[in-house]
Amino acid sequence: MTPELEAQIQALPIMVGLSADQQRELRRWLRPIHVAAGEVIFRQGERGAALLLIVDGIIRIDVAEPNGDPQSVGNIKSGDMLGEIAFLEPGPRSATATAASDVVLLEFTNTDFELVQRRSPAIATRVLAWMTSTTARRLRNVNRDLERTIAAYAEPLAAGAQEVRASTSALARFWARISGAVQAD
Amino acid sequence: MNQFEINQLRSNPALVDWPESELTVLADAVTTERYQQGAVLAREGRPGACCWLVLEGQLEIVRSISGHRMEIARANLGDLVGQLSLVDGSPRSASVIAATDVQVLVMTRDVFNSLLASHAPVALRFQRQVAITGARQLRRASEQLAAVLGTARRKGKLEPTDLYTVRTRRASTVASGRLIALVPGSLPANADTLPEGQSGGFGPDQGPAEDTDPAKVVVS
Repeated sequence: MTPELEAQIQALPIMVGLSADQQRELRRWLRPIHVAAGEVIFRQGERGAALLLIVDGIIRIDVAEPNGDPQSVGNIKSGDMLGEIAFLEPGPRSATATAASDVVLLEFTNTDFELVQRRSPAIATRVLAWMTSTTARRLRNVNRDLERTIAAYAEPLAAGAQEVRASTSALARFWARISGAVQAD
Repeated sequence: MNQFEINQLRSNPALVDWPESELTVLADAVTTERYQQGAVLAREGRPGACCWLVLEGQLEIVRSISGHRMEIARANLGDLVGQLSLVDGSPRSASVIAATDVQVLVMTRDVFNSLLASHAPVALRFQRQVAITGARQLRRASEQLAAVLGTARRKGKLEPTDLYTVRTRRASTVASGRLIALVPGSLPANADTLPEGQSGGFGPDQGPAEDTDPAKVVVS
């Protein structure tokens, strides 16, 4: 690790709110990994149990659709995390992660996290709080994107399905009554 | 909380590996509530200040998307619901309705924060449950987004049958997700009881919109 990378690690969002001592202690548990552009970091369906913090670089995420086709759902970059579900509950990876540039990661294994929980609960609490708020922010973004996608592509819906149209107009009446505004039917 | 209720906590899948001492601390800190089928525990868009752990029965989680009511999940025994309100105090991202008669454990944000502040082991344990629940929700939402985006890109439009939700059980993955048709349902049973003049729960998510990248998905 170069001094620049160590400085980037200190500035990671997961470190915010920790004292200098706590930052040093947490850093001891994080193992650096270098990945070359184009390499697969992990594949959907593989078992995993580590949290990966992105120090530098860009990672592409693909999720298989129900029919098996890979669907790129975008990129994540420095400061972000991946692998948090398997970190909390070891199991299959829910997506495939590929390095879109040269990438530097920090690996935090779930067994090390168990040790941190016992030895330094204040650090563990901080890590969980950061993970939870990051997850909450992503969930809102995904929900919003879902909403926008459906709004943009679901035009034939109201015209095509009788029962859906019925519920839409009921919703519009309800909305108009409580908000004083009229929503498009 | 009486002995019967403590026994009920002890056998709950979410709490089954908790040490007795921590279960007692939890039981002292929280309350339990019963709701009849059809009761609305939370309304999308409204402020929330607590979360629920299902002790008995089933909750239905519903979002209004583009004017359509969409059942996004069902919560059963041992599932935690509404925990985002403990995390950032933002408005409810979905409505929560009792699908059957239910009994729930209620954890308020104030109680959760005071447990965290006291560094009680029970707080870390509950916090972990909150984190896991959020990660699962994000995984499910990401699967739904991937499915809908894929269909929209291929066909250029979405039809009622495309607007499925991928209802997953705990360990299932996208590939094995079961497809459920859009729920063209009615309003919650007591939607008419909303006080006049208050903004309703069917508006868009009021959360921060600083990031428009659809890539903000979960990877586990």
